[in-house]
Amino acid sequence: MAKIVGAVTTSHVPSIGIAMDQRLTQEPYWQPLFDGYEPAKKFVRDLAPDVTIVVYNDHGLEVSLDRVPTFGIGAADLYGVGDEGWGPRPIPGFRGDPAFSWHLIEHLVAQHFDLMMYQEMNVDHGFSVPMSIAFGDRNGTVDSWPTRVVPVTVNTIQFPFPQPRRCFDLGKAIRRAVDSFPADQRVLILGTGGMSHQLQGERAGFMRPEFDRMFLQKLRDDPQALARIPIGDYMKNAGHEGAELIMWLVARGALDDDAREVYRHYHLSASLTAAGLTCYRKD
Amino acid sequence: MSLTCPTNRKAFIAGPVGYCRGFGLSAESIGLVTSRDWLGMIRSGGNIYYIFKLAAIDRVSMQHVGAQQNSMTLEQFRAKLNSVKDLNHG
Repeated sequence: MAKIVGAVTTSHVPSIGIAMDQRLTQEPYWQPLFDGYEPAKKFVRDLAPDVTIVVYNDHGLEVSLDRVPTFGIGAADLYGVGDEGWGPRPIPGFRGDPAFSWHLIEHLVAQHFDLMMYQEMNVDHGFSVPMSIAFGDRNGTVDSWPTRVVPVTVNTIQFPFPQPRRCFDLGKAIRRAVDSFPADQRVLILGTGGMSHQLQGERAGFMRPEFDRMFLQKLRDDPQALARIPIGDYMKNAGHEGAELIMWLVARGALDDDAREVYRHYHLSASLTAAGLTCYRKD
Repeated sequence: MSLTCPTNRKAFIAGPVGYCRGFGLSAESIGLVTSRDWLGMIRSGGNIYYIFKLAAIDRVSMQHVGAQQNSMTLEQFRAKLNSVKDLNHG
């Protein structure tokens, strides 16, 4: 049987990708952030997942404002590295697992999560930066990705965003879908985005460490409480783009409420964003 | 979003006004785009992730965009970002 063996949650700031791709990770500005990633890389290496479910939001690469799915899921053989305007990141494409994806889709829809399905899909920094952090070397380099992937998209770009409770419950539905997959598969779930930040308007540059510290603590001790906070309060207290933390709740929802946090890293700041990372083990 | 395609980026750089007209933008909206009035674009309903494709064309960072929205220089805005302190942990 397949099982979710752990979760990693991390910010997906584009400039973290640039720092890796341009080999800047030892520069004074970036070193403390990347030093903090090393234990997470070991955690992921030891978990050795066969499949990684990556929960992220598309940033105008694959999703146009003409059609915005609240939730979506990939079922492609291969996910290409997208050109977001600067040219694609210099990293390999990501191998999918259509059979596993379709199993998830069937079981999620049966549980009343009506996700949009992507059979062709490129991925942007929201997906690739966390993958480089989790699976790459210090500079994010990999010869090939040591895991197959399933992208799960959450709309955090155009109102209305889904409620935190719904995202947490999506995680629980993903967990049940994974548990019912008949073949032995070790599954990692990667929740991305956050932490507090705001990119747009006069409040651009807003960060709130007090909120982030509360979130990190409750993510461990009382994730249900985070699921009860309305989405508008995330935007108010963690910045407009801080609402991306709902994708951490998808990952956390896929684990038992008493899952063990084994590592935590928090750093101010990566460009405009308070950067956080956590590692959770299933048992 | 069309600017994720290199051919379209070339077309935009060669003639931004005509490129925007092709998408039915008003003269006012085109003015916001060509003057890179980031706050103006946001206020008129622009979405940061889509208008940020223009920053990629200009090779400027989100910090640059953030600074302008705060009516600050890049140095002032970086100082603002660095002034945020994590009181719980030094």
